[in-house]
Amino acid sequence: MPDVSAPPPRRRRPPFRGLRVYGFDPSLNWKLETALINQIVLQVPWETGPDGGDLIGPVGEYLEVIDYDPGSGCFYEPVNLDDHFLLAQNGLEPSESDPQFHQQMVYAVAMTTIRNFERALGRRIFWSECGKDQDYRFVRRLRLYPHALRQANAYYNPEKKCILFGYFPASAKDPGNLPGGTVFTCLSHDIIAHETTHALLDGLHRRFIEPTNQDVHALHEAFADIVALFQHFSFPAVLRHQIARTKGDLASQNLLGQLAQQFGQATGTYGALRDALGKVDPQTRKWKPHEPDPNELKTATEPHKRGAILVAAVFDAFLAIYKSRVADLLRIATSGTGVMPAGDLHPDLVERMAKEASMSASHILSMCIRALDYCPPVDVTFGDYLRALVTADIDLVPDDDRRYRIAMIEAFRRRGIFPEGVRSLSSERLCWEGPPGDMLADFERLMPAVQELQALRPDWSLTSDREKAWKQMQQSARALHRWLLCEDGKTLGRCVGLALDADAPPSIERGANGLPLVEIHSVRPARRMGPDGQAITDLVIEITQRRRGYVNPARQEAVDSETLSPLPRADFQFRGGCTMLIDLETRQIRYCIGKRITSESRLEAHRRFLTKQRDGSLHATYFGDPRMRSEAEPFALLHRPL
Amino acid sequence: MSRKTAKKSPPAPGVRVRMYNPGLGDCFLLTFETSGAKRPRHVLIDCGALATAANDERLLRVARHLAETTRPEGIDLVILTHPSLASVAGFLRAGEILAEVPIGEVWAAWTEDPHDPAARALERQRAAALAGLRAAAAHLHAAAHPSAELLDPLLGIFGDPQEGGPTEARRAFETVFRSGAAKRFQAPGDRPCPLPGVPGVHVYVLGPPRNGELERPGHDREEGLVLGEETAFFLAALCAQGQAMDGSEKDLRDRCFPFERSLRLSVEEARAHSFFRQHYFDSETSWRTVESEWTGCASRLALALDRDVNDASLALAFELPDGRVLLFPGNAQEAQWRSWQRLSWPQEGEPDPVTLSDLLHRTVLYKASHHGSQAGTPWEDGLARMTHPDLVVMVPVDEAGSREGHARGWDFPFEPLLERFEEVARGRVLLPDCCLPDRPDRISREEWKAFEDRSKCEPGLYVEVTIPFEEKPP
Repeated sequence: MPDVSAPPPRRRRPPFRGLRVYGFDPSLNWKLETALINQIVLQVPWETGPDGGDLIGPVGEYLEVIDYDPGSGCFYEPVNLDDHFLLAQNGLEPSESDPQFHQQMVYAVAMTTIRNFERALGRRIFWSECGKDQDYRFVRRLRLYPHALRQANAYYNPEKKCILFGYFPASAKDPGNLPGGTVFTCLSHDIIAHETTHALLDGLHRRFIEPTNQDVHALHEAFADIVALFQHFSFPAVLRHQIARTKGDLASQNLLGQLAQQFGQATGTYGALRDALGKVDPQTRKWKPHEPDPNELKTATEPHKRGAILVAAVFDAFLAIYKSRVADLLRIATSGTGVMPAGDLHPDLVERMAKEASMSASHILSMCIRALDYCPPVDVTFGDYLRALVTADIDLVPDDDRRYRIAMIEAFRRRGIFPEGVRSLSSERLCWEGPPGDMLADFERLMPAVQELQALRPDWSLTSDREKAWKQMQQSARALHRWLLCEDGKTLGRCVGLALDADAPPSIERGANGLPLVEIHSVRPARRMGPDGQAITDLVIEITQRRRGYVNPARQEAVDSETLSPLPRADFQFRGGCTMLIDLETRQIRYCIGKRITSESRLEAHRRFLTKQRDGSLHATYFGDPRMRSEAEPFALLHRPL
Repeated sequence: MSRKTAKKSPPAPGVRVRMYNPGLGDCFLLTFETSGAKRPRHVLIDCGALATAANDERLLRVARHLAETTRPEGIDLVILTHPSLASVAGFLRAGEILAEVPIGEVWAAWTEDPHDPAARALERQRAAALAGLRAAAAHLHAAAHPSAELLDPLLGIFGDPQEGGPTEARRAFETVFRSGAAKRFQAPGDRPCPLPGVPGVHVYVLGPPRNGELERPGHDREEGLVLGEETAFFLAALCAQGQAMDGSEKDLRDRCFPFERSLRLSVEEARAHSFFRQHYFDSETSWRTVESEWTGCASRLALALDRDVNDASLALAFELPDGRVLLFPGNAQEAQWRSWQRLSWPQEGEPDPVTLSDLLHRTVLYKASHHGSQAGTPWEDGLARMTHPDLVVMVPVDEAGSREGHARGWDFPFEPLLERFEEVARGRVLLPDCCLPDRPDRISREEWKAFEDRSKCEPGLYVEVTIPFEEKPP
């Protein structure tokens, strides 16, 4: 935005705006040990209000904070972050009793999370669009309601594209909180980051809110926790403090591995809501570390429990990397003995170790976020995610000199997470594959000419206008859609597992012309490093299809053998599709990550997931099995299972 | 047919357990024959069904049959397990018929004792929760929120309150209490109590537990309502519906506001505020408003209330003279089953006390808790330990009942649990309106014949099984 008012000398707009927030949540202010490190200043990209005026609300480019409290029947005056006094002191001082500080905090933490995504992906992020079937509309801002619920809960609502934060009085029996004092979920860094990540992930993979196997929702939860956890490591004062306290051993109990302390205590878990490193035994009230158990994955079905396994695996990988990175420092500090001297660590050592921890954490976080571009568009599993992690990392850091990939693969293996159909757990094997060699020539012939492909690439650089970029993507998607329906496109589509012909199984949803429907879900650029260190942009294309699923296999059979007309109502929606990464220079399909719509075994697995593992919880008894219907608020319950 | 049944006495000595079919609800008549007693003794456990026109008809039919069966002496003991329509509606809906039946004694859980302060506190807590939930439901209806449709049937379990007074389920209790029969409020104790008029049969009271486990969060035995997550929600719901509150409720509500009064902008003020006019009250973005979302958690709280009321069921184990056990857990849920583990009953002249494990091992008749929901019957500490070769399971929900549930969006019984029942009870699983089940292939003809000989069914009205027992020498 050009600055028009200023007489010379012209001043540039500062890149960042400092905003004070609680590092974790207000409960750390009540302890002498942690009170000092609990206030931090986040550097948030400088932005103006929607009409170029003051940043009020705050309502900016990505977020709009609307402070409506329907449970109390009132609104709270929006904060003006461009107020002189606030600009001069990094925003409002942290306070539980000032709603305007709450607005500032949700804004600052959510913006920080968004920025981490944009940095990792190298492009602008979008929220998931609103509207249905072909009539999608751009959603510029995610809406945040800091005080929308009167309950111990906060969730992302994908229909309304908003996050609702709750507040509640701490119960009298809870020793940690002030009895009757209010606990605000919008003052917890972890809860804000977690929910914002749900929204970001939904923006990237709209179908990941559909539980088609037991990993999908678990991945949503795990990923949201991973982002919240690794953001802790970007707070230097906290990191230094915790490294000094644990003498550099980040595997012992420490604040960095814990999520939502105050919320956890107020809802009766005797500690943080979740802890990546260990947990407090409810009987002894003593903290003990998690032991990796490869069988745990087989028994855990509840999304949070299952997600916690993935989080623990990623955290293990982080610890292994951190340990290897500080090994030399420790040798120097202990003259090679490895035995720490009594007393505190030297502040310089703490500083250096903190730097290593923060570097490792930021790499891991980027790796996890970048992996999202390498996931199948539907029906993702933990195994797919591991392959995506490895592939994404190979693309960014071709030689694994720091052994990140090995650390990641080992950590996953120790938790029993294996991809299907992979013969060994080496990075080469885990890396996604392109089309088979004998098809390569065909592909090159079939792919649209380079110029056409180049034209499909939307301009998503970090300075572009988001709505324009989104519209470009829609155009590219339409162009690609047209091409897919021509002969060349169809041939190619068949090769990557799409069903595009009239003779495809009748249960695959058709358009008016009787041909199977196909949806271009996304066309977006992804950056990677070429072999000479040059940045290369690939095109990520996601294509999906729908098919009517029936719980009864005989009925499915009948529908597919064209003996039923009209088609009976589907019991569930079965989806398939693929993610393709295309090198724009060479027109090569580098990876093709598919979930075949015609796969009977996958259809059967989906059916089994819906029927065999019946949900006997009281919730399912009275309100029905949530897997069998699409819910308006899939996350509302996920966050507070009864 | 029914007259004949009434006249026919079970081959003495023994007990005939009859499961009536009142719809989605419980109604069990236990008739004991002992050589010492001149006449059979009748024990009625619950008589209720969810409120529908068809069920009211069924209840009338059941009540008439009950009256006839127990004529002229009437019912020796009525046991009311918990205050929901599915267990007590018959005493109101077929009240005229049942009022004519003399009742010897009434047993209910300690939680129903009008003179027990802890029970009264609990009752106030539940009433407050119910009032809050009803207000929330009204709010959700006004906003056409989808969860309103889920909430209504669940709250319907308690029956509508009359003019802000007690719920229908509560009034049914009062009706029975007023009948003049001797009342006993049961709690788990250290010895089983004798079954009146039936020498040699003892009743172990398993629950509801007494030590504060049933209290809802945010409530306190002494103080009643205290500040907590639920209280704050319920009060806000009452307030949003403009319902009356008493002084202490108002005081609590004021403490639930998160910020000082001076910081609040009323909705009118906000409408006049340029920021909110542009960003919230704008017609373009009206699809993103959140007027009713905050009440959405009512469905979770309603589930919790339902669970807690079920968990406060009077759960009984009848020990026959030969040591075998009939287990009637009411609608006990996981928390109550867990509490049973701590119970033990010292025996005279025996070194080891009786424990839950003993009782489960000796169980020959199990009334499935909570219409066969998974939450009602735990596997490890429950069904898996019922190892008696004679075990019969009665599941008080049939196809019609399950359809009735489905109409409300409910899923009773839980199919995988039914399969487990069939496995554990070797096929002897009785549903109220089915004819007797088919013989599973793995069961011998002789074994099945023995079962068939002692069971009987009157389609649509009841199924029954007779359990003969040996009396101990006096």
